[in-house]
Amino acid sequence: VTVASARLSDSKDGLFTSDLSVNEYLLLEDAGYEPLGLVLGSSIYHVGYQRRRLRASHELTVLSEALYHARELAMGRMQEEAAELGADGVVGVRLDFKGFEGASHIAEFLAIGTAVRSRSHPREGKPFTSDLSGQDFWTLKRTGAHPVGLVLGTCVYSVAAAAFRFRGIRMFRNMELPQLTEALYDARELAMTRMQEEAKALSADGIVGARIDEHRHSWRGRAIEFVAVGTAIVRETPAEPPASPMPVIDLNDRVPSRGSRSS
Amino acid sequence: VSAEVPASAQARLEELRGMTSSFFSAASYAAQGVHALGQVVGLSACRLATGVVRRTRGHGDRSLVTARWQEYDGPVRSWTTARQRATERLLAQAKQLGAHAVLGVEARHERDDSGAEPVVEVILTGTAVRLDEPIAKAPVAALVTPQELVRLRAAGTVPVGIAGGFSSVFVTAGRDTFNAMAPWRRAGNVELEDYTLGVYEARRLALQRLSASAASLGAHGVIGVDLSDLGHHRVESVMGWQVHAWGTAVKRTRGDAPRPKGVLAL
Repeated sequence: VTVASARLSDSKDGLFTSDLSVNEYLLLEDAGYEPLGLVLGSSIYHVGYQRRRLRASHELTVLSEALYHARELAMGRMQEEAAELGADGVVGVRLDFKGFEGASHIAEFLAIGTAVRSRSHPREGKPFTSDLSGQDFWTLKRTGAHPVGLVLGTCVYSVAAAAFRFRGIRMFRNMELPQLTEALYDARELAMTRMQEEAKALSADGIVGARIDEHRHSWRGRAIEFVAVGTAIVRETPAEPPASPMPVIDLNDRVPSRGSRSS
Repeated sequence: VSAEVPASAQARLEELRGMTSSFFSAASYAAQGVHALGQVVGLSACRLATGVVRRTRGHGDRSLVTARWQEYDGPVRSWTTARQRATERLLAQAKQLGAHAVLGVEARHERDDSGAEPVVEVILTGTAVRLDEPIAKAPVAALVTPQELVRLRAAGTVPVGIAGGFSSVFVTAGRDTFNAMAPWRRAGNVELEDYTLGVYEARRLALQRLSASAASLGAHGVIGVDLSDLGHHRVESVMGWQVHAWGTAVKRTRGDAPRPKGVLAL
């Protein structure tokens, strides 16, 4: 599926679109970057069928693969759009997931962000992706780091029905649920390991802003998904000495204007 | 319908004379060179027209030409008209107060299906302000807060208005999609290409119209773009998407302006 070129040929008249807030826009300019346009990638995906076991908890590999593949398609397309615009990278990437009413096995995966390019020394090669806000990007650049890619790991797990069964004296006791605990541990660890592997493949020095989201899907029964997302970075020598933090008392609005991410 | 200020608003705005009311926070109230005058509203409710089906064009890309998506021009006209009128009315109220800009605008797009005919509503609320240095002769509406306006202007950029675009695209599923969705086939993991192309097309059209609307305002870019899906609706194998895109159109006035420096706050 190639659709990027049609939309981007529209936007080559010099006008940029972006979902940057005012602060982000100004900070990116300050870091020497200009916004080129809103880039997005999308994939509407049919998730395959997988039989599940009742007695044992296990990973639903078909679902894990589906979620990986669909997100990769979406992110790949977003990256293609950014490359088409001649961008250095994409900041503020949001990964969105939309289910379809009445069709629980179909979902849309969306990746959306703002493509940016350095004014002074644009880079060659594939644009980076990152979920960094303009503020985070500015701070990272100042401290001598450069994002190389948005990395993610996912794992869909089915918890054995037996884990929730309480009979006899167990009904009245405070107790840990070993099967459930173990299942949740395993799923989380798998997601994080996969994220780390992606970062290694990019030969990154580390991951910043990593978080683990939990989604409960209802694909033909109950399934828990853990998604670990973060931005892989490489260390560079900073162009200027890193800004030293300054104690300030912020008098700003607690609620920023609509459409802007929190500062 | 003209952009005249209705009698009820006229009375309210008359009463405001000499005092202020605003949606601003205390911090925004303190922004330099921005003086709040009063809350202003612009809204328009339109019947949701059906219109005629238009095939959207594929811009020479082969894969686009073969896809089968369509757009009804009625909803596009309805939403565009509602948005234009709401904006005109917002600015008319601002003008009545002698304002230079309307800031902190909240834009709401609502669809009401409860009546006999579906109705679309665009509601814009904001605070009319007087500026020590006006942006233009006519009042300008923007989603940014007064603080953000001060920061933008310090960096040599001004908002020139609210740009918006809407699209409404329908896709009829092809055979591959249809087969993948049939429950008895137990299809594996597969992308639904028809639908993917359709949703791309919906967003492309919305963003294209957003850019066109920004260009007509004389902008060099749009910031804070909100790309909100009104969601999809499915009738058998026909899938429809409605997408709104809006944001603040900005224009650079001075290229060499000193940019505000960021600090790493503790």
